[in-house]
Amino acid sequence: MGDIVNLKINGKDYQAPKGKLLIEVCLENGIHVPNFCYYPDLTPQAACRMCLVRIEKMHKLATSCTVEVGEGMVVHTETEELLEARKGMLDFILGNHPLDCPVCDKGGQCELQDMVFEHGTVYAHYNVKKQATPEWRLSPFIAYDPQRCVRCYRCIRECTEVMDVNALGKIFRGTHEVIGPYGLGMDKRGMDKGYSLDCEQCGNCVEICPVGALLSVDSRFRSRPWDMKETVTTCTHCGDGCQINLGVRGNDYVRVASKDMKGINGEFLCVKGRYGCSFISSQERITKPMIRRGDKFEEVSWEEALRFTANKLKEISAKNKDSVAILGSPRLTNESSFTLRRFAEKGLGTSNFGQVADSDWDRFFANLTAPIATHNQVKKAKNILMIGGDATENHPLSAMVIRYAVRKHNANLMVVNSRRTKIARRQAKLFLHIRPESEAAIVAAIFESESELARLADLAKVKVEQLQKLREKVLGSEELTIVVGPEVQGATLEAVAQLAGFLNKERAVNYLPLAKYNNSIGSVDMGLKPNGHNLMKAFGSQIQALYLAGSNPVEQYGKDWENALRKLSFLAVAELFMTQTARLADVVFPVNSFAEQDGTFTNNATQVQRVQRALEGAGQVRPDWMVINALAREMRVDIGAKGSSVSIFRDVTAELASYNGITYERIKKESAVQTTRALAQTKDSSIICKDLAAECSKINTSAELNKTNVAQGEGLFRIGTMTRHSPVMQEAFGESKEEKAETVNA
Amino acid sequence: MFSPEIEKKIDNTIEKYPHKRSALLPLIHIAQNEQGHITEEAIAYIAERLDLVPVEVYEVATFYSMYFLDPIGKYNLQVCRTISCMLCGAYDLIEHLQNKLNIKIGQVTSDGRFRLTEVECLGSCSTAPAMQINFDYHENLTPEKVDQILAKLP
Repeated sequence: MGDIVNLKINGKDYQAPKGKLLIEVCLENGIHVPNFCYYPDLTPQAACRMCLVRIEKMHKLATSCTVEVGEGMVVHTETEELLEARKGMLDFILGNHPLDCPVCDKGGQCELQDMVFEHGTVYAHYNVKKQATPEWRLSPFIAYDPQRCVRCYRCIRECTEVMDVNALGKIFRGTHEVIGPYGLGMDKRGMDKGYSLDCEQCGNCVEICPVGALLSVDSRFRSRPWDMKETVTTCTHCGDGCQINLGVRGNDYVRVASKDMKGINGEFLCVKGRYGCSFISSQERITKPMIRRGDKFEEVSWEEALRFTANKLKEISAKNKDSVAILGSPRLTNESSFTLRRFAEKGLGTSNFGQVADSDWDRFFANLTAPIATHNQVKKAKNILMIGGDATENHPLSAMVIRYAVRKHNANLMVVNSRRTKIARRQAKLFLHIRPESEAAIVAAIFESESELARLADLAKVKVEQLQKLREKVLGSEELTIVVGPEVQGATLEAVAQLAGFLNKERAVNYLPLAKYNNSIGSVDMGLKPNGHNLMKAFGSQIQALYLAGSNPVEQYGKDWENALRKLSFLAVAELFMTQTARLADVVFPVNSFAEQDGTFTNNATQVQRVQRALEGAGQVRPDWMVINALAREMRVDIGAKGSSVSIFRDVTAELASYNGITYERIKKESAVQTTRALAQTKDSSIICKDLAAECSKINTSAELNKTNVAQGEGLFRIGTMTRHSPVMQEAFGESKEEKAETVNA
Repeated sequence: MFSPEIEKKIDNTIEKYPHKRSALLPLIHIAQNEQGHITEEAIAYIAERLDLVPVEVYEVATFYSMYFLDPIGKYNLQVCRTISCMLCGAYDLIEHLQNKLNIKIGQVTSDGRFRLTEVECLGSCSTAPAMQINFDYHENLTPEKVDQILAKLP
């Protein structure tokens, strides 16, 4: 803590840390100062001049967003003089504003409306003709109406500082000034012809726009802010688990917003979170249970579908319990995953259950020797070692907090990756560009003695000096945050988990695993091991029947899975859409999407967050756990079924030590509750070295370095089982019509 | 993308400043003088030299009125229209030039020889009305005198 200064605001005494911005001191003490361009965590701009205050002994009014507090400062924030000054500023802003509030999406949630309301009559001195500019689409996601813009430049700073994308600029000047991408106006580009905003399409500029200048295309003219029901829930697109505010009108999806949110992500969202959730209201959702009759599916009642499935499972299970397999998915809620496991263990007595996923997070947690870092803790990290993973593309929140640590306090970021990721290129202080799949050699270099370095550097095809530097930094860091990507697996991942124990001695080490899916970690916690690929090999032989929930392995992993699934004598699939996998099933159950049910997800920081019902599912959809309960009842087996997600979660917390003490009430209060993991014993380093040596021997030493830069949007813009059904995502990044027809016919 | 001589000039300009990005304005001038107007290639080049992104160069290039993003012809006729010149007949000159060259203010003749603009005070009130052609001043103008000047241009 630095020096504390005393100052007087509106006649009252306050204390604040020296150098803090005056506006922040005011706002924190409940003193209202109107503002547009000030925004927490963005650099000061002093463009809107609304936060003017009178500071005694200063000859002019001062913008409180750029003045740092000093000893003895005497400040006035509410005088006649200031009211007049602010009204004058509002007059400028409104000078060219179209005042088209009745057709503006922002109407009712607009900071300019609030400001005018607060200041009362504005003079409207300018009776010259307004300069009308047509609005245009900057991209398939973002529209811009220049006339409504108040020129606060929040969007540009957000794009540059928080996102590190630099897509927006202020083009032209004076009343002609507009916010836009590079090239706007050049050959009339972007004004009317096609799209031109080349960025991650995160829409964070739209979120922080105080007025209706930047708008989301997909929710335009769909609903006024006060006319929709908003529910805070957890995003379903990646392991970061951002909190989103899902707006629903009637029973239809309208938008995802994040304004003023206080969850782990604050107001930050990515393109998938913000624009990729509209699949929940897709007309293509399956709404009724279906049974295969020959080549066709026939819609049937739940009773019939359940009876049919129960009989089949009983019949196949009677000969050999293990011939029935249950596979979940890293997308299901904890409650559903837990119920799936109970059904497998107690209901069917099969040992063949797990989930379809290619990760080894169960092995990671079994070897974990230090706590898991929350995203907020990563923001404060001093040293970050990032092994594998492309956070910018696949874990946008993790990428944002890492960027934050580098931007705000120059964190020492060390990146080990086989690909030239954006973080490696732009934020890393040290980047080890390794041979594909040679992470083991780098990890071994930390455990092994120095004499091995030259050999290991050669294996990973990095310079020995670089490896030496990395090793020194890691061994010498008092504090270290280790971020580990999903491609690090097996013994290498175990060694990474053991690294904190190896470093030992009073050091503050923590981990952030970049698990791919929204509940990768929760589903493993619930007892669904990522062993789907192993079980798949026994389809048609030891395994004859499969209940598959929430996975689409045929699209994800291809022909092998399709052939294996065809060998089964019975396949039941619980899905949202008629996927390529569901098309092979004998029976298909329609289930709720994340937005239509209550439950919890556990994110990659092992925080448990709520999934809340924002709308009713169409047709006869049910949550996965409810389908399982009904199936167990139909089979006359007791799995200790519970009738609500909250009571299932109570069972979870009773059974799993790491979930002890977590309740829905507590999550409601704290937004995210981190689970407490028992730490593993530190293994002898010679054992780890031996395991790593075995991994190192698998490295293909003839493989060349991957030279291509990871393209912007490579992971973000990928179309998958869910985003395919989000119209705006499909329009922007989707398969062409022919390709789509091909997938349907396949 | 420039001749070695110009590259050298650019290197020297960048060296003058404690922060690279401070050299942005002079670099745009150098590129513009070299190519007649600011090209996309020049923007990309300047951005790379100064560790900026193209949109940052573009912001500045679109802000100032003496940076030209489109070809401005061989001769840029800048007629002063601020008070003194206006009172001494600047508007007549503009009218005359528009008719003579058959273009409006801001346009370039079809042969690419002349561009006509009106500008704010050239600081030549004592010899109003005044006009600047590229970097040269012409003073005490009348329509006839303008005709003679244009005729003499190579």
